[in-house]
Amino acid sequence: MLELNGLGKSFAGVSALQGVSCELPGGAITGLLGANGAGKSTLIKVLTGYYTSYQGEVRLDGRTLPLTRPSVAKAHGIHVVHQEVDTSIVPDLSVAENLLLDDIIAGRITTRDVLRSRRVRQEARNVMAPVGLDLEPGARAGDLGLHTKQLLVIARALNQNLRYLILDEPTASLSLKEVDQLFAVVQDLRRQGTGIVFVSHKLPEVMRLCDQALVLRDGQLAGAFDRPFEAEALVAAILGMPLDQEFPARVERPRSREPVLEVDGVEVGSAVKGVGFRAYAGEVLAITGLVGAGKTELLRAIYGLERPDRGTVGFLGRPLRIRHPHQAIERGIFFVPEERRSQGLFIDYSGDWNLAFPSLSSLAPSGFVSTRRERALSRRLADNLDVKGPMDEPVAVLSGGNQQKVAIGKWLARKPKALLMDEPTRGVDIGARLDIYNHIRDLSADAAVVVATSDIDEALGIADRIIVMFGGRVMAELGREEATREAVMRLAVGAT
Amino acid sequence: MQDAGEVPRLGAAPRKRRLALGALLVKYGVLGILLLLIVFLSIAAPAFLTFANWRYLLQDMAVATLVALGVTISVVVNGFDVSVGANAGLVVVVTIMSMVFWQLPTSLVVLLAIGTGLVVGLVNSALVVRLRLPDLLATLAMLFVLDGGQQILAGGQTISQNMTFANGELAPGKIHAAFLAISRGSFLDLPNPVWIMAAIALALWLFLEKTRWGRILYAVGSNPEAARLAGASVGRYRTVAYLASGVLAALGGLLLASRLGIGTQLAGDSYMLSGVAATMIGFAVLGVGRANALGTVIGALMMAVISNGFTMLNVPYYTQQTIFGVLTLVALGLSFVVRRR
Repeated sequence: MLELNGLGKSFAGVSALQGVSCELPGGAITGLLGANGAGKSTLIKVLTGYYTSYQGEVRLDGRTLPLTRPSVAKAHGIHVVHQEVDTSIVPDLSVAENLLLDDIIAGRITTRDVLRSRRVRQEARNVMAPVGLDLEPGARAGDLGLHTKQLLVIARALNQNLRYLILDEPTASLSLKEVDQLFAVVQDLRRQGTGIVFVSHKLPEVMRLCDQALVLRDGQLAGAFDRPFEAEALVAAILGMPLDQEFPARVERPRSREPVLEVDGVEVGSAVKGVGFRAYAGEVLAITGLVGAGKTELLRAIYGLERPDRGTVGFLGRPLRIRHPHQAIERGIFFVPEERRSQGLFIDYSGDWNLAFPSLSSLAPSGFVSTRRERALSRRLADNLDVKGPMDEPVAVLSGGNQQKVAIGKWLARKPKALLMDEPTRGVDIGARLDIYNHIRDLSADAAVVVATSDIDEALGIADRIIVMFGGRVMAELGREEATREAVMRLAVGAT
Repeated sequence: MQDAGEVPRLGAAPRKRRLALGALLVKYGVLGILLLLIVFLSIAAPAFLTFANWRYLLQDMAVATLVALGVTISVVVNGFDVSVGANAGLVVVVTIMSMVFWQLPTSLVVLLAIGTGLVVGLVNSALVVRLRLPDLLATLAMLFVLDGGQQILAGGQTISQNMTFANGELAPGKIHAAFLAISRGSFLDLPNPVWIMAAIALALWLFLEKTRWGRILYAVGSNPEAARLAGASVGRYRTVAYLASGVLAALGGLLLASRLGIGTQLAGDSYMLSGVAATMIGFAVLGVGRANALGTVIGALMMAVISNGFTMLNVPYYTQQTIFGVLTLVALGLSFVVRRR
């Protein structure tokens, strides 16, 4: 039993976590929910010994643990699989070396043993087996997929004395099949008495997997729930108020007579195999499908980020040959990428700076940027989008939802004619998500909005028309009436 | 703390004061140290704070500043041009040779200097942008190519007017008075190099901070992928930065050649490390946290003040280096450690 007693942590006088008391039983899966910035990451960092000081105490089986160093947490069997799992893997080392890294560091095994000895290779295989992995021990760890890396990290923890395993948003980029596989491993661990903390934004997963759920809000414990869960109660605890609706209300509006985008027979390597669609102003078109169905590559090809091997793209009745994004941007076609931190934002620069960036040519016709006009523009956009948080500080300090609003909002001043969005609500909490859906809806009044999403409910909730992709091909195009959850699901896994 | 904008209400009063002090250190740490240094030297060496001395001090820092600005613009795009010193040195040899051996007029000599810098910048950018070699490795290799190249060019000897060749002939050309006047002349009682440095530093500062192209350079340096997705031609901007770096280093070399009046070998080498140091100190000036023109000038000024002032106090050269190193650590330490808290 892991007990948290009045746990708190503050930075420069600002508390990120305050008076959190709860129990994490072994042999059970505890869901940890909360909006971005609610204190989940801080809590995880305290539990894994990341901070040298914190308030309150953590007791393991009645004994107080001084969690001021990561090694203390590990010594007591508390391990974590980070969302950015790459931080726990040494990419240039082999699978075996990664698995046995702690033994190597402790000097129990030398790197030469790992490469030479059959015994060590066998040991690596034994360590992998419980999580269902059967990798070549000599393979380079950096070449593995995200899902495999997660299992590798779990296996490594198992090889030490794993008592508590914290999974920080492990499913954010996994396919459905991989999620099932991960859940099977986690349930197996639970049977063996390991305590699991499962951090996620995805309510359905928490409700499916967890035995109990804790909700953090503004750094405090906002609720503790047991099975059976009620989604409404969880959402109310996360938001601090009940959520009336998950998706914006339908608006019937006429779509443009002529399509804004005409895509025909686009092929990109083995990812996209001859895809075509029409996108009209006045409607939201969702492209859905599993992770790896080719949605991202399709959007990137239209935007000039990948060179399509075949196929044509038309824009407002004219053929379009785009080799660099600036040619798309000149025409009013904009792209909101799936990875906002690494692709959508300049994370070290302020919200003002980010929002103004695409509009510099109009803010600075002579070349010199007018600070006054820049500020006016970015504040107008920020107000428009209801971005919460300081706009004159690096966007890194904003929550995920607010960052995403900046990533979308920077294009609004340019009056989009077509807006391509890739996973626009990934890692965005429920409250900000509805805001973003509303903006997508508003934007679609004058622009063709194409949303690629692997969240089928999202596609159903916001789209006027849905294209389902599987294995790089379009399985079907569904109107609002035909698109049921079951139908889309079936198509997304390749069944017709 | 759902959004960081509303949270500071929890801060207690004394904490706030400490926070404010921390912010002050981040912002004014380097400038404070520079000011303390100037105050100390003014008291310790009466001749330090005189117009005549500052005339000399500013003139002395011009070459280092121009070369350092070259490093700065390469760092802005997240590159790193360490070939600037060797580039300046090459320009010294080329300009003096062009007068002594080839008897070119001053105007052509100046063009040749700038052209040399452009070519070096072009090669650097080809290596870094086209071939995608790591910036530091590519420009480090260039450093050796240019260092070796200038010695091959000059046959390993110092070039000067009236020098004799191996066959006993006298070198035909003279160093023009007009060329020497670039560094040695003055305008409104300030040496020309001070004006040139001020004009170029101001222009670069305006360009980087106030124009949209400067913004895009910083964007490219901060996140090339996001810059590309926002429509910037990343390769083109990086190329421009390396060209600018080459030209700035060449201008430094030109000033140096005109001050020396002879083509010494490897005259520019020492300016690379000082340029890197000035750029890094510049990160901390006013708590900007990125390479910037104003900060680099302050960094170069700090070095010039130390070398000038402590020479007056008869502190040997190597001790000056130590003092500079320690003060740099203090300045950077103050702003970086405090920021991390």
